[in-house]
Amino acid sequence: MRLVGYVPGESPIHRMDPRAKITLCAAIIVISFIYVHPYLLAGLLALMVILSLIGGIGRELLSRLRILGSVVAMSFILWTLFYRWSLFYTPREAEILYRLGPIVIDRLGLIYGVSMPLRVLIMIGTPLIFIFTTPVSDFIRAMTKLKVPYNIAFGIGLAFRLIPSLSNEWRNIKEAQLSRGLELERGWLIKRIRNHIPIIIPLTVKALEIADQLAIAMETRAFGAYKRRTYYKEPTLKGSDVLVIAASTIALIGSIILRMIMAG
Amino acid sequence: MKVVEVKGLWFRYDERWILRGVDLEVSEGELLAIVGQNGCGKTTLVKHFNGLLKPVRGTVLIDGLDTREATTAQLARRVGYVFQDPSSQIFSNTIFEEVSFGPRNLGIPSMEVEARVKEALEKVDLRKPLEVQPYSLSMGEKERLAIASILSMKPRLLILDEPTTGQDYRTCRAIMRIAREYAEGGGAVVMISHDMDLVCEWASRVVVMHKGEVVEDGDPHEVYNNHELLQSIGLSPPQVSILARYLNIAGNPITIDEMAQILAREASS
Repeated sequence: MRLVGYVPGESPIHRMDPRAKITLCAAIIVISFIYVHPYLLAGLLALMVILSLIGGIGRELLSRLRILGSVVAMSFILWTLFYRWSLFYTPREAEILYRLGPIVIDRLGLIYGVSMPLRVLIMIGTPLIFIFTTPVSDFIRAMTKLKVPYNIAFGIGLAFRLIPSLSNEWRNIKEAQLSRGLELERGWLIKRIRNHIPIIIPLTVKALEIADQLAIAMETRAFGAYKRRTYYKEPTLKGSDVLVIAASTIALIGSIILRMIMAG
Repeated sequence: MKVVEVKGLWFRYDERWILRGVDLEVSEGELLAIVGQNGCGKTTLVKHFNGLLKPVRGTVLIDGLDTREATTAQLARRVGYVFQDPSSQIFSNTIFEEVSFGPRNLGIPSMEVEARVKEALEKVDLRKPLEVQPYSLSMGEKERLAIASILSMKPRLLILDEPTTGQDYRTCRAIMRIAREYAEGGGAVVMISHDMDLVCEWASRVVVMHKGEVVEDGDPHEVYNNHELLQSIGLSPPQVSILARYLNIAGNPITIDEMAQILAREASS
């Protein structure tokens, strides 16, 4: 199974212009970071789930988010039970919901306990929706349209493409060393890190080799021969894309202003 | 003595079955070649021999030990696996360190490790100072170094996954000679290869795999004379064998030497 990468499809989310998609995803993430209200965060999570269902990638998203299960559970437990010792604690007797010996559950602690896991899910899930529904080449084109220099845009795109091949290499090398009697799980922390040296060194060499070959392949195809380049598929904003960008921007700015008023 | 016993092995990563009921036994002294198209399950099968993969159904016994009850590190005592690409295992600063990595993992005392390193390097005919940096070696030397670093662990079963890909003729022969010596010395060798001529010349037994099943298993002459089967699964019979058919030469030769002998005999009679 590939951890991240484009999942082909024909859905409205796939067809949305990458620029509109970036704005929408950025709005969801930023809003989830400036509010802790559980209902609002649950709403954003629901929006994320709906987007993934429209995009037909609900199953892919769920399988990746399941990896976060223990993180979500831990942050719920830590925030609810240990809120009293955190930096955010403001002592107010009336806020206590439940007390059993040393265990005290505050209202705000419970709110954080619900909100933080939701934030984690939104923070990881939303970019995944973008990655699952956007071919790397479209992403590169969108970045150059946003005035990102082509070399940098291409480099970012390349990084995405190399993730699967490097994780493949990692698996190969690990299997080769396990076959030579390497035991990764032996010893304590420092020893365990040291155990990985026989994997990390060949992987580094491999990565450099890949980069080298790639550079040669690119040069043989005249990469960077012209300063400005043109595209076969010129990305254009459709009416629906403009609508998404406008709505996301308004929601984003609106919630920032609202937050500033509430804080002041 | 049976080194490998595979019974009713089924394996899948997700929904698609990659191995569909494989039965196979490998004994001491055999040099077994597994052939088949890409994606037929050859590598998946041999990865079961040292526990990198565990059966979904069926059993794999190595020297009587069930691979499901042992880790790959434990099985490394019995099974040596030389991976396709030597650069995926080389990580040391010196040849000595590289070849001694395996035996040291097995807990062999350092005196013996030294002796094993020398012996293994001699077997693969890599005559270089022990402190040479492995990355400075040539392709063929790296491949032989990779084999030496497995031989130094003295496994009962040696697995070679396409050991001759990208190697020149001389290195190919050197590698096959190492494999044959190993089998004759009481070990067992399982080799995956696409090189038919090489297999004909060196293997004592050939297993043909197709879509996760063993479709043919036997002496190279027997297997390679079954042109219909080979062609039906997209493999090409050895050229010598095809030529013998065209010329109506009996005796079923599969190597140039055999062909030459038959022709010489016919010419003299």
